[in-house]
Amino acid sequence: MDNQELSNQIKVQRAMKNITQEELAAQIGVTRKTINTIETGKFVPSTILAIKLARFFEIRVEELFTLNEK
Amino acid sequence: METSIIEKLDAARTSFWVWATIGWAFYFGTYIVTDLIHFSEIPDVLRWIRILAWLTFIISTIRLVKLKRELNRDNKMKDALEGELYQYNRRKSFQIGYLVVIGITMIFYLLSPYIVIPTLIVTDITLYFGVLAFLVSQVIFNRD
Repeated sequence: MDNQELSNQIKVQRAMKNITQEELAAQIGVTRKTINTIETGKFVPSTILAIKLARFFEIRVEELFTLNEK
Repeated sequence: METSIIEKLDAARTSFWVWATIGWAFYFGTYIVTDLIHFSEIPDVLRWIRILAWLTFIISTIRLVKLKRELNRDNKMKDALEGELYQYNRRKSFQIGYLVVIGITMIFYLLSPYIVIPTLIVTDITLYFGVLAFLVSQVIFNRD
């Protein structure tokens, strides 16, 4: 797994919906820090949280999160 | 869900952890110093630092426990504030504290054939750095 990294489209999706990290955090039921660390790739969320985020943005999980080769 | 309340409580909790860390560092730190250096009488400065640090540590710990009890009454707030990131950071902090305890124990073990160290000092130092490593990690991982 060391040669793979998870990227995400949260920032782009947030911009499209015009909401802040804090507002998204409140909608999902987590802290702003959680959203921030996921968005910047510092923290890999659980499947449950990934699904919650994808549902909120009304897209598939694979569209929100992508596994890339380094 | 009320956004600002979650963020306010999160910021308050981070601040309690910071003060608990400072309190522990100075309270137990001065305790070790007085154990290591055999003063004929403990200097006033050291005594006051110890009292203030002890109060800081106790008050911060009580506030952390109070916050935890409040969260237990509100499931949504608990899920938000004790979510997977917080639990992940807490696990990492415990691991670091545990590794520090093992590391210090190994150092004392390696030193044991060469020097005689009183059991109380060994216990004090191991406990001090083990707890401090956990607290500092907790502050670093949960900082903004």
